[in-house]
Amino acid sequence: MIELNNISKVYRTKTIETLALDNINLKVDKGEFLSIMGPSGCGKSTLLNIIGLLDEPSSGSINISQQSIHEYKSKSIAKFRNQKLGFIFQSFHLINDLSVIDNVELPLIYRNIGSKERRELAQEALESVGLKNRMKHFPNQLSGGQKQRVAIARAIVGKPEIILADEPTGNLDSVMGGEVMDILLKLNKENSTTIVMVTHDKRMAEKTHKLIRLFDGSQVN
Amino acid sequence: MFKNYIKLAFKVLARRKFFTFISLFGISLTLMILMTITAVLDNELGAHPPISDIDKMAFIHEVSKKRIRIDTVYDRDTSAENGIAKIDSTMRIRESNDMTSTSSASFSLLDNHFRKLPYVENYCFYAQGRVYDVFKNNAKIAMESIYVDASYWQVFDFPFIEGGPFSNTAVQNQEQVVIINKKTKEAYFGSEESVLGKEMLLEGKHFKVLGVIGDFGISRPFVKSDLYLPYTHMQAASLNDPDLLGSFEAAFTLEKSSRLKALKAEVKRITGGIELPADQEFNHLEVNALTFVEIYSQNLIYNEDATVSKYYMILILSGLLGLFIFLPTINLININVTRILERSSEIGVRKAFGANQSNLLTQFVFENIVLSLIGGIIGLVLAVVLIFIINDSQVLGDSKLSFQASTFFYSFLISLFFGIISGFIPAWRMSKIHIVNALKENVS
Repeated sequence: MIELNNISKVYRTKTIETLALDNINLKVDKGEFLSIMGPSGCGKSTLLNIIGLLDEPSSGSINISQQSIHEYKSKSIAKFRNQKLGFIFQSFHLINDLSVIDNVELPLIYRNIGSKERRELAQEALESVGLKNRMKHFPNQLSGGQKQRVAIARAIVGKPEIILADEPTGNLDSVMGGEVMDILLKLNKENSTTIVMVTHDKRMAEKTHKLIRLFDGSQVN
Repeated sequence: MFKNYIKLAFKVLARRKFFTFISLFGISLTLMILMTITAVLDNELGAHPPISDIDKMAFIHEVSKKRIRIDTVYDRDTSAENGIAKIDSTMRIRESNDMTSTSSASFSLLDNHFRKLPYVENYCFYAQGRVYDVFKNNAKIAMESIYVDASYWQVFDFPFIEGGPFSNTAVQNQEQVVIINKKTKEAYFGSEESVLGKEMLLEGKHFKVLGVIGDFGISRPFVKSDLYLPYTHMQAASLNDPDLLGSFEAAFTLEKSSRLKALKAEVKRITGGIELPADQEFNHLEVNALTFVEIYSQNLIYNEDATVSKYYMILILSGLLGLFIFLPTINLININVTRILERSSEIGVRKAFGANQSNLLTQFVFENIVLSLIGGIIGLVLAVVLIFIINDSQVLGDSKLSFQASTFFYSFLISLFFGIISGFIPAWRMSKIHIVNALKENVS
């Protein structure tokens, strides 16, 4: 499903060169739930961004859904992300100007799906995260846990094959974090959605199929 | 897809009420001011009855007699050399105008020299008359008058509501006829239906009313009057006065507006050949054929050369209009930049979920188009209301401003254009931001 070969990422400024990822090799199978752990600044998020095609590696190759990715700026990459990937961010990144249902519909807008169908799919997704009664609310009327559930609904509304979650429970208390984790686990189990999750929380990581640890940009066992 | 963008634009604008209010306020106020200014300008300078041919008209409005002498001018320059003051003086010889007398033209000047100008289709002479005081029902009516010839009624297209103009025969025979305006009709005759053929007593003479002119919104003195009388009723002395200055003006309608320049040159040439009476101190005569706009601008910003006045007026007006357009635009761009910067997280999310650059650009530009459209409609309503208030309150006298659909269209296009640009530039910059960086910005 996801295959990373010798991925390195170097950040360069005028004076300094930082090696964020060093020669990462990784394979995630279809339906697998992988968690990535490591201390702050070890490159977890960078790795996730590279898997999510949000960032370009300095070297190495990526294969996602049997497609090798070369071009990072084209329209086709946006389309690919839209259809294959769903994102969940630590800080939710909901659009405050839009209602909950409009936020969830967002990925479908870029698929040219009719408004009626979009609404139905979004309702379905909200229902699956238990927020159907909050459709007309705006993000600032929700609690952190609810926001993250909206974000999950947005990530799954387009039924992507892969969900990439960057510390999805990082901003939540343990109860809410537990709820969010349960939704992800259920999603993985029932729809066999492949999930890659970055986390600081060992208890969360232990619930997943596979765990990799990063330290200073390198994979450690 | 466009439907989505429009819906989204409405949603965002409805959520960001303060921004929307500020932007709409700017756009609609700008449009309103532009519309009103152009309505005033159009009223002042545009082609409306009775001067519908304004674009191909020239006027002899003023005549100047000058005394020009050769003058010696000394220039003194003081400098110090070895601590001793040294004075250098130079001398120049130049023409100097030390006396000018300016007025309207005399009848004889126009009659003798400017009746047969080339390229002229029609022309007329007219003179501001005196104010006639008439007592009617124990109330004084003061009526302004203008003395005109028969062709005056062809050069200017007055909106007659009753009767019509007087003929050349009537003028030549000094018939006691008069054309009046609606206001005079109401003041003098009261509520009578028709006053044609009725007589008015003006300073002991009975004048028969031949026509009544309806209201028009132009207050230029050469067309606006209460009484229009045949010029032959003027005192013989003022008609036969050989002096070059008098109280007459002339209006010429040309075959086409492109002949204006040639006509001006011809008037200059003829003027050069006119001899000034030897007994006077003046030795130079100046007669210029000017367009309406030139006369108008010379009244506002005087310069001896009317084209310079016109140039200054256009410069000042376009500067003002430019300010009225650009200041709100720059403001709008500024607001937009801030607003779009605030939305960098949204841009990041949209990109992550599959929006490409053109999706984002279209979205932001649509927001501004919707904003400009709404602002345009509000501006239109405001302008109509303001123009109505101005007309109704008569702050501009009898002038009637009219709403200019074409001006609205153009100013609307301008605001739309700037709306698009002001949305496009920041959106384009933002849409190029790397997703990862966009997502790092503010957080919701």
